[in-house]
Formats: sequence, structure tokens, C-alpha cells
Amino acid sequence: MKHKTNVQAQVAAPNMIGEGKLARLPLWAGLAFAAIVWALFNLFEHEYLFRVQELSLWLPTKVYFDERMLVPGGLMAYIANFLTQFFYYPMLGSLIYVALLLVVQWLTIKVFRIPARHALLALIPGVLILCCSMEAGYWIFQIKTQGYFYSMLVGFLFTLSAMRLFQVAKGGWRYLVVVAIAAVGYPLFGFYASLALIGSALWNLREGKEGRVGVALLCVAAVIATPILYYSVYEQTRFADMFTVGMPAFEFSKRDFFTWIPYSLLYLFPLVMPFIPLKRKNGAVPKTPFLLEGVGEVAFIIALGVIFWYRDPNFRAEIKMNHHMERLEWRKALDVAKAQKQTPTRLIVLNKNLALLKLGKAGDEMFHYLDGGEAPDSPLNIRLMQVGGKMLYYHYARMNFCYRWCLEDAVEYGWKVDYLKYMVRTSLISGEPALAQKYINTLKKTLFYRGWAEKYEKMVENPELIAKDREMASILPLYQYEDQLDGDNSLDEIYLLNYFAHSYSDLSTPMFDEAALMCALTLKDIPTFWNCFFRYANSHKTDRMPTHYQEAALLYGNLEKNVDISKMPFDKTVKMRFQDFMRFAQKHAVENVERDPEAKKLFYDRYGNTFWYFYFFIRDVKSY
Amino acid sequence: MQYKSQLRILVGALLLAGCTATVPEQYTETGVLPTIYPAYSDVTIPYNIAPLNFAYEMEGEAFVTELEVEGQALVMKGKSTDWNIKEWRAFLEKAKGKSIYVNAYAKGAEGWTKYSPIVWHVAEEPIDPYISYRIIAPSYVTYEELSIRQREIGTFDEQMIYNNMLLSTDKDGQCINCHSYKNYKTDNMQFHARQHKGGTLLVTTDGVKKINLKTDSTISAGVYPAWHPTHNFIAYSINDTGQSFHTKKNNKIEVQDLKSDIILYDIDRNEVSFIEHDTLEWEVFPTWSPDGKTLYYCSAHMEIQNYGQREREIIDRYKEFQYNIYRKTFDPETQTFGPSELVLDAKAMNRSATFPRISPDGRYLLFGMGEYGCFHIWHKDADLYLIDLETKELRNIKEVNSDDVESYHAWSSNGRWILFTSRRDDGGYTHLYIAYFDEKGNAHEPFLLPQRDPYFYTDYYKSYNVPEFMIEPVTISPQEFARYLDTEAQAVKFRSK
Repeated sequence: MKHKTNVQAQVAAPNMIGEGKLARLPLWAGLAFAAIVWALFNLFEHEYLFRVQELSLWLPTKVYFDERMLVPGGLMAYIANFLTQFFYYPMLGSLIYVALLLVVQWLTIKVFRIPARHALLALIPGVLILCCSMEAGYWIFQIKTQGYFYSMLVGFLFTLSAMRLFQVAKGGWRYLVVVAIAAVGYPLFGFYASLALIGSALWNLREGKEGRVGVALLCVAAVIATPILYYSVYEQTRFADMFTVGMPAFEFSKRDFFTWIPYSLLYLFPLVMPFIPLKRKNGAVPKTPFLLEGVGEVAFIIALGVIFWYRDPNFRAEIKMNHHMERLEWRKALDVAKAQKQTPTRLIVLNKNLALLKLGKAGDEMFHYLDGGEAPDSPLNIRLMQVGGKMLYYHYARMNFCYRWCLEDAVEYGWKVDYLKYMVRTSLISGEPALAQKYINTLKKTLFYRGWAEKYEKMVENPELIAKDREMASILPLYQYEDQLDGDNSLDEIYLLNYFAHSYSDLSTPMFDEAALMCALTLKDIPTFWNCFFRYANSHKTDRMPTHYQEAALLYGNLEKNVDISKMPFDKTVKMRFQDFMRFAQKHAVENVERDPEAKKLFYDRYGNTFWYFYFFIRDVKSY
Repeated sequence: MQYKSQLRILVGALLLAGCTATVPEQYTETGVLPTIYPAYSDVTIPYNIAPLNFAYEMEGEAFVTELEVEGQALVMKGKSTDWNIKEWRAFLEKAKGKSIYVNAYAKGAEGWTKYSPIVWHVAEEPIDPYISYRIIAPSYVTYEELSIRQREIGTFDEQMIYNNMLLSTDKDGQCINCHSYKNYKTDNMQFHARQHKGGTLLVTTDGVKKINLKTDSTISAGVYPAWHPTHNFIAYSINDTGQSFHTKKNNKIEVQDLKSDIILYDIDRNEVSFIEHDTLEWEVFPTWSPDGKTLYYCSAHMEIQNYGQREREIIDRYKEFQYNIYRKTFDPETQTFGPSELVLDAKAMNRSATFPRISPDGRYLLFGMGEYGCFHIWHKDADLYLIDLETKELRNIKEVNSDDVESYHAWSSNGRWILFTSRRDDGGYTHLYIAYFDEKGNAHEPFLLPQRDPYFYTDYYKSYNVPEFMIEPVTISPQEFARYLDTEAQAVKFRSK
């Protein structure tokens, strides 16, 4: 009777909506959430999602499965990598992702018995999982967690499922379920099994009727004892790590504090939820104003998304450029660089230079873009090598170095499709067909790269196809050098600049000479420039001298009188503009003009697309 | 109930039928050898080896494999073989000293065809029951997970001896290397850990201890070890090593010693002393003769011209580092060494010799040789060579060499088997090969260390290195080793002569 009274009171209260009318709210809220996430993914993140799957690998082989299972939580990594590969088709991949978020929502409602009117609350784990996936940014290149994009989703799904199983079990069966979660769940899902046990213990304390304390104690004992017992089974996991294995491989330090937040909130969710009074003991739903609560929850969800969804423009530009360059869409890559509104990272600048070199436009356009050296927006120590250096080495024909860094990073961060693709191509160009075949064989076993691998397999069988391949044909002119012992000290921009600008090999090609001259301009070293300039002029006798090279020759010829430029056939427009620049410089010259923001803007507006601006105003650039 | 038991019998019969294979009665003969992977053909194997599982790489709807020796047969169907180990071992026992004919049958659109038989020779002599090796990705600077493992050679059972991830952290990685045993037994063994929790883990009959072999008087901790066969000594090379990278050559990397010497570690006294310490010599790879009265080692002579640019000069002149093989007598009672004696003047041949290993009967010297340098695992031209110490005959063991790298090698305790690493399969990853070495000093066609899955190596992205034979397994668990390594290393004393 009391219950009936409460229901009547709910219906009657002002600003209140009855539970019955809200029965479909969880469904609509879930679908709306899924639709929004799917749309955001496909509108703004499809290149990123594609990159995420390129930086993962799933294989249907026993060796691959066995290697995942060598550490607790191996099945989670296996499933996570399996799911990640579907981002090859971002629309399909994101559909699977949001579908699983809906399963999380459904299980959350079931496990925590969330009334329909609190449906938005059930979205919070999904939102937190989304935050975990989307906060990564540059972590995608460095994280050692296998299948990290999906791992917490898969892991949390297990946690919820295990808790649900625990709840469904009655009486003595609960003890058995606890043992099963510990004995079977821990090896397969690691920490997420422990989370399920703690969540179940707390839920049981709060809600359970029989053996509340006994079951809770067994759960706690299992959480402590299981990793200890399994330590003697797992032979490549530190004892201390046995308790956290399955969590993302971030540091427990100040550096990664922010990154941990959505994970921490996600882990707290099943521990806190049993104590949130969503229903009274008699089953009635407390009378909180529905709209107020709903607005609050929506605001919370949006705030989480806004705070943790990584949206750095430079990062996005790098990802997009990589996407286009991998497809040899050099002009589209340049369009991305052109659209940049903030100081670019060195990778964007280097990608832009490579694209221009490929298009033969470097001499006329390389200073038509924003330049500089913004550090990557990340607390991590990002290396250019990890985020794009391999592509640069490949296209600049440093095959051994590209191969080396693919292998080094594969060893440290795990094998990825991206690395394997470069290892196939570098092995082919280096004349190592058997090695190329090994990597081809692996890629042929993937779901989506079989076709790609088969294309290159033809080159193993017919090496003459290498020179006919559009991509490789554009690299071979730079592969004309003799072997030497060298090292890049993990700084590939510095290495490439010095290598090309200071290479005095007789084995040069017009493309090599152009790359050398571009590097000489970037180095701003005048003797190096003249050396490269004359080499370029020699190998491009019939071509028009591009504008930027003329600009540099005019500037250096006037700065230092070591080279007689009086007889050089400069374009009239370049010469007149240089004279104009000199007059403008005399007029606006102030002390430390190159570091004066106002003067810099003044010069940029007028000469921002010239080598002269680059020479005087692009300063203190640090590579990484 | 009756129905259920009938069903059980039926299921059992079906399962049995599925397992039993028979040789086709009607077939046509192709007259050619079947294409199989791994290419186990005309190999000589020990009777106590694990099954040589392989897969057919030719077209066919169905396959039957028959192993045949003097009227006895073992038959299996399927595109790849996975022999029952007990049946296999029993079969090999019968085949001791004989040849097994591997008859392959493939079913095509026009019925069964029979290929020409592949022949496997089964030696009379067994191979040591265990081997150990390090599993490492063939990277250059970075490493993540490294392990030393042991394999029971008659089965596919592989066990971890130690895995560096038991102590490595994300920031503090631990490298492990150079596992080594005294007289093929594991009650006296050692391996090194570098960087995090570094030190040498020494197992003796007195127990396990962690020592630090670096002293103020030596350039590094111990590197390449050689257990003295009769006394409690270990000879080590000590090496200050650097590496640089080829920009184009497929060798990819040069690992060079900037300095190196050889020391003797006296286990009982816990002290080290120099055996070889000459600034103009790069001494490395010590190894004892089986009687412990002679120490063999390699050394390259080099006179640096510009000490201000010493390291750069060593890198630039990398091809000039060519190692000869020397030996010196040793009296274990007085710990005194005789003068160095040149055993092989590799430099005069414009070659460089590495890793000398003496056969257990003391007659043969097995070593690696390439054009230059001492890190031949990256040198495509590195091959195995043999010197008959009685006749002084030197020869390239062409029977076992390939166009790619052959490097680290070991003798079995009975001297009849050679275990070595080779990159012949794909050019990038070292795998283990075993070759029979007969009484006349001839090596036979080597075979790839068998795995249950014939395609294991194609899917596996790690290299096998430092293979060693053992006559018994290591019984200390990886976790126990980790506990010892987690302690402070005991310093060793330096003793000047």
C-alpha cells in the first residue's frame, strides 16, 4: 500500500514525470548518444580512427594468440586488437564501437538497477570509456597497452558481465562465481576481474541478502590472493604489476595524472554506484526534479567530452597529412598544411617539404606555408621518429633507417600494421625479398591488408616491378648513394638536413640535388647553400631557377660578398621584391626585430611567403 | 541408456576413424620430391629428437604422409603433420642407424599421386636432451622483453629460465645475455643482467649469488664467459662496445668493441685478474679446451693513429678489425698462462674469426668467419669453419653453411651434433639449426629445430641466439632468479699479477 502511495505521489508532484512514461528513455538516450558519437567519429575523426588501426595488429594465428596470453589480461588485448582493426573502415569500426557502448549502457542499467528516469546516469561509463579512447592523442604512438583503444571497453564489459553473473547466481553459487571470476577472469581480463570482484563485494554488502559478509570477504581475499597465486604461473610479469595488469600502461606519476582521470572515474563507478540511492528500500524512485537532474547529467557528460576529447589542431593535421601522403595525395597533404592557423610542428613542416619535393614545387612554394616548430601538445617526450619519421626516412630513401626504427618501435611498443608496411617496402627496395616476404605473409593474414600485401608480393616475384611502382619510382632517385656507417641519434630531421645538405657523393640525381638545396635553405648555412645551389644549377641546367632559390641567392650574395651574383639571371620580379624588402627592412628595422611580434607581423604580411622572412624571423626552432 | 551407449561407441568409432590414416592403394607416381616447409630433406637426425613436423606447400585436396623404415610405417593424413610424440619416438628408436623414407601422397582432381620419397637419416648417437637459448627481437638499440629459455629437445616443451620482464619497468629496462654452463650441467651456470638490477647471476653447487664483475681496474663487467671444465674458474672477455648503422648495406649494423680484454674470475676467491690486457689488441671470445689446459681466444691487432678521435677512427676503420685465433696454455693449479700462440691467421686470409669452440674430444676447432669484425650475427657472409687440430686442416663447412648468416654455435656433449644459429630462412631472424657431425669429421645436412606448428617460424618475430646444449634442465624457477637479481650484487676483487 505504501508503495502505491509513493507512485501516486510521483505522478502528482509538480515537475515530475512518472516512471512509466520514461520506460523508453534509456533506449532513446542510448541511441541518441550512440548516434552522436558515431557522427562525431565520422565527421571529425575518421583519419584518426584509421591511424589507430594502422597502429595496431591482429592476426588469426596461434603464435599471435599465445603471445597475448603470456600475461594476465591477454584475452582482453586479443579482443581489443581484433575490434580495433575494423577502423580500417571508420564507419564500420565506429558502428561496432558505439554498439558496444550501448551494451555497456544496458549492462550498467541491469547491474546497478538504474531506474528509467536516471537513464542518463547509465551513459556515464560509456562516456568515460569514450574519454579514455579519445584522450590519447600522441599516446597512440607510445602506449604499450595492446589494443588500448578498445581495452578498457572490453575490460569494463567483462567487469559488468561478471557482476551481473554474480548477481544472478543465488546462495552458494555466488561463492562459485567469485572463484570463477578470480580463477578464469583474472588470466583473461586481468585487473578488470579484480574490479568485478570488488564491485560485487560492495554490491553484495549493500544489496545482498544471504552471506553478505562471507561473500564480500571471499571477494576481497580473491582480489589479493589471485595475483599472488598466478605470479608463479606468469613468467614475464613483475610481482607488483600482477595487481594492475590490464590497466593502461600510463605512469602513476604527475605527468600522467590527467590521463588517469577518466580511467579512475570509470573504475570508481562500480564501486560507488551500489551506494547511490537511486531507489528507496521499498522500490520507490526518489522525487528529484527530472529536468534538473537530466540537464545536470547531460552537462556532466558534455563536460567530460569537452575536457578529455583530444583536439589539438597540429595533431589532427599530422594525422591527416599522413593519411594523404600514404595515398600519395601530395596536394591534399599540402592543403592540410595550408589550412593550419597555428604554428606548425616540425612534422607538419617536414611533411609539407616532402610533398613539395614530390610535386617538384619546393623551390617555388616551400615558404608559402606557416613555419616554425611548435612542440607537440603532449606531456610525453615525443620523438619525430615515432610520429612520422619512418615515412620521412622511407620517402627520403634511408631504407635501413626506416627499417631500423620500425623494428625498434615494434619491439618497444608492439607490432603494428604501419611498421610492417614500411618493412615490406624497405626490404624490397633494399634487395631483401625473403625478408619482405616474411612481412607480406603476416599482412596477408590480416583481415584488411591482404590486398595490399599481394600487390607487393608480386614485386618479390618480379623485382623489376619495383622501379615501375609509382611510389617507389619516386624514391629510387634518392636511393643513389653509397653505404656508410652512420647514426641519427634519434633525431631524424637533423640527420636528414645534414645528410642531404652535406652529402658530397658523386652519385647525385636532380631530385637528390633539390632535396639537398631544400635542406641547405632550412639550415641557413651560407657556404652549404652555395655548394648545394651550384650542384642544383648544374643538374637543372634547362630548368627555370625557382623563386625561393633565387631569393636565397640574392640574400646571401648581398649578405656575404663571397659569391659574385651580378651575372646571375634573376627574375625581374624577384629582384624588385628583394629591393623592396631591403628598403622595408631599413625602414622598419628595430633592435631584435626578429623577436618583436609587431615587426614580425608587419614583415609576415608583406614577405611571409619568402625565404627572407624565413631567414630572419623563423628562429629558435627545435626539432625532436 | 542403451541408445546412449550406442551413440558413445559410434562417436568413438568416428573419432578413431578420423585419426587413422591409410596409404592410398591406387596412385600415380610423380617422380619429383614434394615441396615441404620446413625443408627437411636428406637431413640426419638424432633418434631422440622431437617430431619433424612439416607442411606441404603443393596443391592438393588431401594428403597422406607415410614414414617408412624397413617394413615399419607411421602414417598420417593432413596437409601438415603433427606426429604423436610417443609413436614418433618409438618409430625413431627402430630407425636408429637407418634411413626413413618419407612418402608423400597428394589427392588431386585425377586421384592420388605419390611423390618421390624424402630421406631422413637417423644417427646412432643421441643428442643432448636439452638446449637453451635467448629469445630476442632482432632490434638494434631498443629491447623490451628478453628471455632465456630451455627446450626439451625430444618434445616441444619449452620452459622459461628467466624473463627480464620479471624485473623490468617501463623506465628501467633490463637486458639479459650470455647464459653459460659448466660441462653441460646446470648446477654450475651463469648469465648476465645489464642496466636495471644488473649483475652476473652465478649458480654453483654452493648456491646462487649475484656478483658485479666490474672493478676499477677493468673496462667492463664480464661479457662472453667460458667455464673452466675442471676448476672453479670462468674466463670472460670484457668489452667496451659501440654500434653504428649502415645506411644501405643489408648487414644493417656494426657492433664494434672500442676496447676489450680477457679476464679470469676465480669463483672461490671471488677475484678477477687479467689474462690478456694489451692496448693494441682487441681480445675476445675465450674458450677452454676440454681438458682445461689450453685457453683459446680471438684477437684483432689495431694501432690507433689519432687518439683524440679514437672512437671515430675505430668506426671508420671497421673493416680493418680482423680477428685471429690464438691459444695459450694454462696451469689450473698455479693459475698461470703460457705465451700466446697463433692458431689461425685469419687476417692473412683477409678474414676475421669468431667464437672458437673446441669439440669435446679436443680434436676440432669450430668457429665463425667473415670478412671483418667480431659481431657476425649481422654479417651476411659469416660462415662456420672447422680446423682439425691434429692435421691442422682448415675448411669451410659448406655442408651446413648458407648464403646468409651462420653464427653462434655449440657442440653437443658427445661431439656428434652441432647447434648453430642461421638467418637463412628469411634474412632477418636467426633460427636454430642442428647438424650431425660424424666420426670422420664431416658435417651433414642440418635441420631446423622442429616445432609443433610447422609454420611457427614464419609467424614468429623473434630471434634465437646463444644456443647451448645441456644434459639436464635448469631447475631454478624464473621467479627465483628474479628474487636473486633483485638483491645487491656482491663486488669482486681485482688481483694484479
